[in-house]
Amino acid sequence: MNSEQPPLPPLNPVIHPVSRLRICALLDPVTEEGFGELRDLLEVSDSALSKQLAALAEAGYLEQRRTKRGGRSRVRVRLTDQGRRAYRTHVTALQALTALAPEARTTTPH
Amino acid sequence: METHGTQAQESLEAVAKMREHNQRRLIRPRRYWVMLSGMMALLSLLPYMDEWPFYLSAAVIIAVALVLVLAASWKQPSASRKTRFNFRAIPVFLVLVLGIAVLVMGSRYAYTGLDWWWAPALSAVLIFGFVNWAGPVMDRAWVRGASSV
Repeated sequence: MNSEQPPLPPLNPVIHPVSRLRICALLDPVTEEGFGELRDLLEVSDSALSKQLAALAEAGYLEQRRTKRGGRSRVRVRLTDQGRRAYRTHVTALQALTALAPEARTTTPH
Repeated sequence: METHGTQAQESLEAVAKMREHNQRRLIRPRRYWVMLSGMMALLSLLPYMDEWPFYLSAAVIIAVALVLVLAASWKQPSASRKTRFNFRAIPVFLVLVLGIAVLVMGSRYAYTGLDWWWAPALSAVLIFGFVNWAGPVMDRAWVRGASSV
C-alpha cells in the first residue's frame, strides 16, 4: 500500500540539474580539481562551467581558490564537506527513487 | 511518478558515467608502478653492498633512488595525487608493505645466515613482480572506494 511506505528522501534542488550532478561526481573522489581539467572532462565552455560552479558555491557546496604556479594563475575547485554530504544524500535519494519508481512518491524539485 | 523514476534513472546514469571517467583518470600510469617496484626491489639488493665502503653504497642508493623518483613522477597525472584517502585501500596497502618486509628480511637472513648468495637477487625479482601486480590492484580499490556512494 502506498500510504504505508516511508516517504522518500527529497531530491536536492541545487544538485539535481545533471550538469551540477556531473560536477559533483567528478569532484567527489578527489580533494580538489583544476577548473581547466573540469571544463575539459565535462566538455563545456568556461562560462557554462562558471555558472554551475557559482550556483554550487552559493549553496556552500563548493569552494574555489586561485593558485599561482610558474607565473600562471589557476583556479582550483573542491567540494566542501557539506557539499559532499549533500551529493551523497542526493545520489542515495535517486537510487531509492529508481528502486521504487512505479510507486514512487517524492518531492522532486522543479 | 514514472517520469520521476525515469529522470532519476537518467541522473544515475550520468553519475555512473562520471565514475567510469574517474576510474580511468585517477589511476596512476603503469610506469609509476614499474618505478616503485624498482625502488622496492633495490631494498632487497642492499646485502650485496654490505662489504662496500659506506660512502660508495650510500651514493649508489641515493643516485638510484633519485633516478627512480624522477622517472616515477615524470608526467604523472596530477589527479592521482589528489585522490581522497580511503580506508578500504588500507588492507591491500598493509599486505603490500608486509609482503615486501618479509621478502627483504628473509632474503637478508638467507644471505648472511645461510650464505645463500642468490637469495637477495631472487627476492628483488619477487618484490618487483609483487609490487607491479599489487600496486595497480590497490590503486583500483582506492579509486573505486573513493568514488562510490
